[in-house]
Amino acid sequence: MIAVLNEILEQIESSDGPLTVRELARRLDVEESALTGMLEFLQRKGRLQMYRPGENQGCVSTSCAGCVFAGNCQQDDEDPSTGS
Amino acid sequence: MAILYHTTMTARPARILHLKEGVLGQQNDKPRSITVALSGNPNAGKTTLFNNLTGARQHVGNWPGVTVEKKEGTCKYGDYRFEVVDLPGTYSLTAYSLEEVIVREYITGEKPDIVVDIVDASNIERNLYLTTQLMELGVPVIIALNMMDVAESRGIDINIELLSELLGLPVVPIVGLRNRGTDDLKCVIAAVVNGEVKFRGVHVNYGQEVEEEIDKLESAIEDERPALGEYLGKYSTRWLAVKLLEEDEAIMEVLSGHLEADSSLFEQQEKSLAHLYSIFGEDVETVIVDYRYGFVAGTAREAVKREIEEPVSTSDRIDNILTNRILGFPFFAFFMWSMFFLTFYLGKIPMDWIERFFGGLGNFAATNLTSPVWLQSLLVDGVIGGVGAVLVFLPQIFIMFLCISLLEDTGYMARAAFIMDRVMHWLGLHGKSFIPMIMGFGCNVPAVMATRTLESEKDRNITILINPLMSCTARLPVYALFTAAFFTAHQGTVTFSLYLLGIILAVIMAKLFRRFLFPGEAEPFVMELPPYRWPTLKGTFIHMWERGSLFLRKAGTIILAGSVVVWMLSYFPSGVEYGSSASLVGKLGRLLEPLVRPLGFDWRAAVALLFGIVAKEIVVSTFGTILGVGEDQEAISGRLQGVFTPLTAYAFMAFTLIYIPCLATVAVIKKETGSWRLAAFSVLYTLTLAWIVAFLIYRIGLLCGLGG
Repeated sequence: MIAVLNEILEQIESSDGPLTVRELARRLDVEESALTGMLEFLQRKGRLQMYRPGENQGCVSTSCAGCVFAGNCQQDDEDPSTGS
Repeated sequence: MAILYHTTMTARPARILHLKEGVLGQQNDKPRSITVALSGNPNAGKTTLFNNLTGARQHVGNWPGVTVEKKEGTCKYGDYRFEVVDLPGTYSLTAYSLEEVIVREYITGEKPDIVVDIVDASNIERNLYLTTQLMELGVPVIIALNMMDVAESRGIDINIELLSELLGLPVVPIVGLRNRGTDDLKCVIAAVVNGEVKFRGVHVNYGQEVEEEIDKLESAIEDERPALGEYLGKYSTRWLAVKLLEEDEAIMEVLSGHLEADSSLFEQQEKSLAHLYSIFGEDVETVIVDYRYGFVAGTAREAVKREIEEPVSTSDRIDNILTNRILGFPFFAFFMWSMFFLTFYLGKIPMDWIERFFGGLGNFAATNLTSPVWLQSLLVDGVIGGVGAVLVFLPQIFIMFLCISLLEDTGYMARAAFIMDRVMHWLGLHGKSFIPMIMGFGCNVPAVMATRTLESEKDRNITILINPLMSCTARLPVYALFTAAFFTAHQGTVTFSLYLLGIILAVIMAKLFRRFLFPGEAEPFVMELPPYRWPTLKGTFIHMWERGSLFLRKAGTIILAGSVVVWMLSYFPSGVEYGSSASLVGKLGRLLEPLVRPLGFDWRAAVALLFGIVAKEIVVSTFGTILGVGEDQEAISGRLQGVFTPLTAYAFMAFTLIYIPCLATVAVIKKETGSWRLAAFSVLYTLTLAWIVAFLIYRIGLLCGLGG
């Protein structure tokens, strides 16, 4: 019976494609930054996953050479020869 | 409770002036000391306000036992001396971060006279979430509504009087950066301490069911008063009750130190949690957080009006087009096609130079090394012919890597995953699966490893199995060789169609695997897209070189070794015509030929595909070696036209795209899944699929009269 948080999950699940945070905030009539806080809570509770392409989560390679997200990788700027 | 009303920062309200007269008019014998704690979200302007209040009268240290910075300072206002403490920035008061624990321990332990909650008016909903928790701590809170100028410029109109009434707290608008409203804030702090401003004591109502359990827990806490002693005085009982329902780890740990495990309080906690779970079907913390957000959203809906849309950033404007529901796919396809067009169009010239270099090298070796004949053949046909046949595609490989690097560095590649995520959802698959697939365009080995980010084993297995269908750069020399020989005018388009074929097959196979092998639901996920940015020349070239150099290394190792093996099989037994059907390679090819004959291929294609299992580039070096024409592309093209037709050439490229991923990929599949069965399945299913697809292309092509 939770309302606001369930509405987020329902909107994401019922969407026929990915949603931007801006679009989701518009649909829920909440401020974008507030929605970010809600998404972080849902992530902490394991109800959804956040993915930031190129950031540490996705990188398991010992080399950036084979990774198409190397360009977005923060550590890549410091040492292009090593994975993050 | 007094209500402070400002419509804008420029209108000075009579109420403040009245308060000021009252506060400053008092005559005290000695300055009265007031402890003021500044709390708020990160970047809400806490430090700016701290500096405005204290000026140079501040000192910096650390919070006890931790390395989090603690700033303290003083200021005077009339007969009052303010001891100001700048607390760490936090979004909430749970026990999940060090900063959160510091803030709540300070407020409950030190009990400052006033907590000033700095709220960013331009992000008011997010900031008020912390306010709801500060309100529960049972200490006087004043809201300093900062960045009013930013809010006004964004068309955010805040009814401060109403906001103050709804929250039951004094609200003072300020502009920290311009030091406006600081004096008003000081006045209100003093008035609160004087008792001229009364609090209404609003708190979030968590609904009848939760409130009933809070009441029960408050009673149970009171019953434990003798055991809890001083500790109970530190916190409000309501706050403790809410924390017990949230199963707050830090509070549970402290209570466990004061109470027996079978105390009535813990018993009541268990009962309350079980009861609420049976009603909501959710853990109680989620229910409580939801009510807080509901309270904040309701408050904002009443007191905040947005007159104009928030300004759209350049990244958002570009995304509106490039990730658009309808336009996203055509743009994605266009970028991919352009990449292949540029790869082949720009690659032609330097390719001719490398070809001439290897041609000269081959002639030099053939002229100057006439005996022994086998050594001459090994160098000219095996090493120079085999490795040279692959290395002539070096410029094209580098140009493709340059294009990929540009797409990544601008931030577009993440959008490609976003666009394809829609397809994955449509098929009932996890959108995150497409990210390793996009990585597969570079190399399948790190792409398979990247599936570690998928929590569900079923999702991982599906993604790993379909990943080899994404055409890695090792296949590019094969496409380059065949498109040059058979589709000269449409090299880019034909190559693009093969990449597209790989994506389509991956999508179909994913659907089938999900349906028949790994049924289940995908959990939702949120992807954060990086902003668009201009790529730097240095960064882009570094990324290109990193990948291109791997290809060069491969040419000097595995491709060289493969070429030597193929040369040996083509040269021996001694005395037979090089690379003929009488040679070892010919015999091996004849043995395999019945398997590929229905696809329109002969024994030479069978041998090339066999050696291509080690690494796909070896398909090219094998042709270079067994056709005995080395690196000369025109000569190879001429010979290939005797072995393939355009139709069988296309079927052969499709087969190369789909069949058995290279040995390194098979090994990493075994390693990542821990299953030989899954690794063997990846080999068998890709082989079968490649055969079926090549068969269909060939047979349908024949039926359509494309056999010539």
